[in-house]
Amino acid sequence: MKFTAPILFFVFCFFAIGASDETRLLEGYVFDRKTQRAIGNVDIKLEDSAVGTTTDERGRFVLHLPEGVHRLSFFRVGYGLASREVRVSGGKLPILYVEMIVQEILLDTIDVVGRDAETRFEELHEATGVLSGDELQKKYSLTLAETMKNEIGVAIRSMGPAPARPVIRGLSGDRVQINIDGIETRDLSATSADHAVTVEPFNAERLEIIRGPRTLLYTASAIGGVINVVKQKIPEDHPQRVFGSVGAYGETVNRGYLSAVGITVPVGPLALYAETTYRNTRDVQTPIGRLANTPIDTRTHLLGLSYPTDRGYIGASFDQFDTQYGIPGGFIGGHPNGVDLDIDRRVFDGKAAYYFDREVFSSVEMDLTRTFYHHFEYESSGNIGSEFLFHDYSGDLKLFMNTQGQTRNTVLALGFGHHNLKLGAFVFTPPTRELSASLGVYHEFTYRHIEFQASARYTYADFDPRPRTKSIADLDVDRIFHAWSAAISPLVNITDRITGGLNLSRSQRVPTIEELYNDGPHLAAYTFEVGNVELEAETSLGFEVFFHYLQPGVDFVLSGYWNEFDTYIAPRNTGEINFAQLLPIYAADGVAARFLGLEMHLGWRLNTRLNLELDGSYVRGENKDEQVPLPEMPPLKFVGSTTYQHPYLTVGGTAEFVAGQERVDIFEDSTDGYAVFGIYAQRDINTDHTRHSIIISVDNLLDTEYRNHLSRIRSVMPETGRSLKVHYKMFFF
Amino acid sequence: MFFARKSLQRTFAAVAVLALFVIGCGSDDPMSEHEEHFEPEGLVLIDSGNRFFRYFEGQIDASGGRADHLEVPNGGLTAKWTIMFLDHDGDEIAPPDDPDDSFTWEIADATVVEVHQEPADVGKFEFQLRGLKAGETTIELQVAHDDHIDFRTIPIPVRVVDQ
Repeated sequence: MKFTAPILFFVFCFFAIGASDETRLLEGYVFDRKTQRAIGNVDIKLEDSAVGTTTDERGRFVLHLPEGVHRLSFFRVGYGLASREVRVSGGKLPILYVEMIVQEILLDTIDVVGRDAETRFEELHEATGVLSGDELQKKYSLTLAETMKNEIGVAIRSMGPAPARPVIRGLSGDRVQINIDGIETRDLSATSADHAVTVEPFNAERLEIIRGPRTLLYTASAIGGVINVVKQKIPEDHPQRVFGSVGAYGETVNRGYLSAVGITVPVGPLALYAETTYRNTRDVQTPIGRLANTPIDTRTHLLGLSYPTDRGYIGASFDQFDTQYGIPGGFIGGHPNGVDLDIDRRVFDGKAAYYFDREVFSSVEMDLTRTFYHHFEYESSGNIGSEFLFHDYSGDLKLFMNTQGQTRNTVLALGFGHHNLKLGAFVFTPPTRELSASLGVYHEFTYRHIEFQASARYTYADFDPRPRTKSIADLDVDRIFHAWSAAISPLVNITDRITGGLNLSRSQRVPTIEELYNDGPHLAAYTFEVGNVELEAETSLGFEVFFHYLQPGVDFVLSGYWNEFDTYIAPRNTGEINFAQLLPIYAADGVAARFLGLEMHLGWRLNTRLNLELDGSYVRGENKDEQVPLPEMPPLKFVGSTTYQHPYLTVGGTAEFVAGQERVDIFEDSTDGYAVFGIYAQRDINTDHTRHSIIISVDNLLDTEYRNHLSRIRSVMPETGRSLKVHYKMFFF
Repeated sequence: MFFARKSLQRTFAAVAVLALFVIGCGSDDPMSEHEEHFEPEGLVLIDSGNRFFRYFEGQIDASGGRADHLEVPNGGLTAKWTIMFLDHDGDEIAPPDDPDDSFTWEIADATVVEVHQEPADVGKFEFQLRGLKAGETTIELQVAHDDHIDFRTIPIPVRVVDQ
């Protein structure tokens, strides 16, 4: 009975959105005439109209056009303007293929480069927060965190290769939210260093880091940012033909491989997306030997089905992520032979959108997600040490509006969640039910040539642990939180080439179940974790200033930020040992804290073939209560890369320079600095309906022994040694 | 006809969506029981009333003439040793009487020594060691609760010596 309401809603939407069929869908592809490579980010406009779109990394686009004769213009920096006449009438439209010609002179004469984004906010976002197309393929590694590790401000928290999770600006846990297609990935990766992120990035179209006021559309907790993995697992448009990709990946450092298939198929009026991947790796090799008990075995299956029309779409997907991996042992608190984990996560997503014809209301979108997650941690003897299970129901309703002459610039968002966490075996945290609800508003506007993004969000959370465990039996542990967050970001063109902006925010993050109620050993984390039922919401004030300099061939971003926390909640090593299981005790506590940071990005196009990039990031975290550094702070880091693009081959190299981290918490060890280098070569081969992309790369070229300051196991083993990687992907369309 | 075909397609789509929902909701695995646990902070080994070995809060206590390792005859058995546990204050407490609690161990090199228990004593907190060859290894003494470990010692040195 509890599913009746959402089912009826979907059935209602399903029939409601099928009512209109006035326009037709045009699908097309844009290619470079000389190299026949697909061109992404091509601006496509319907002349004498505001209708337009851009191509994705496969050069694909879709447009809804009314019947009649239309002229489309195609614009991309570095290419001559192209236009095509399209006749839209009854019957199926043929796929449109467009070739564009490189026009190198333009690069030196135009004043504005890369103005593909609709607003300057999006332009800045594209410059520093997006990984897609060739860049994504080139940086792909076996985990989401490894794939994103050299993005600006990103570091990796790890405990062996499998449970790596991104840390942004020194902020970790659920201060960094991971979404797939805008919906939060519900797993336990934010709660402990040994828990894996349940996302396979191989078939992702795009990875993006969302910061600033837009994050409040998704959560109030992600002060570090929201990482959105774009897959379109529920297709929003109807494909005109079958397209997809087949891929494989291998690397020598762990004798690992991955195979993947993703396909989108039109089935009558429906659109079907299916994906499956299989990944297997063995123990990781480091420059000083093998890191035992680090194999990974992961299977993912995904099936999405939608009914897209001109008035919207309705769809659903089922997604299974099943992984087994090892956590190495041999360090203080660790088991000599390590611990094995087995995670099974199943997700049902339902999504629907309806596009209005009205002037004020643009569209309404709804998603409903049901997640089942079950996780075991085994000792080497096969005994179960810890068991975690939850059922999670969550949903969002978003109303997009057109105000002040702008399109979809105002969003009202209503969300709810029901999280039921159970713990078994040797974990003392009580089973806990969490109910949450939220109301958010987001608005973009322009005032006297200043662009603004503003948002606010209210979050209600109710925690109810049942049954109570011995340690909390006599305490009043039911907790209710009312959290308020708000952010505003003005952006202004200081000169024709320099854009400057601010980001001001006040955030309140509700503590997690684990931070409130943990009380016992956590086998694979090798810690005895103690929560704090007295914790209040983590409140912070944020201030950021940023500049973006853009001229032909040069793209430079500089930002500085300051986050002030009244109560920064972090599990800290107390220096004490639990003598029953011989584990170090980590206690959650809220302390006054300050984060100061700087980030920079420089992109320099020396000529049409040679690109240089340099990214840098630094964060300084301080526990103000005790006047000591915060634990697990990423050290100063610079990443340089160069790319040479020949029509038949792209080659490049990367260099990563990381300073030592001497600013450490009381029971934390310092880490030495390092420099590691990598090279790669990419060859694309295009045919009429396929594109083959092969990337061969070598990471840690000099087999340098180095250690990640955010790795729990850095005391026993360095990071991975030299590795040859081969990445192949065939796109068919 | 067209209308009928379209209705059929929509029905198919609705059924498919509902089928996905049902799949997503189904087959939730059962959870193992969450229980209170036995949490001592040490133990003593007793040989005929003699408390010859003491381990407390992560350390072997060799004071008062107690042993700092376990000695085992090569090819032979030790006496039957009984385990008593120590609470937070170091006071002796009896082994757990919960039938789900049992005595287990982990030997680093099982070719040097093995644990011997009479069939009637399996799971009880009494044991003997049998030396398999002269040498040294370690043994970790544990209290297992169902299929996980409630209590464990550090690896205790074991020496197998020729008689």
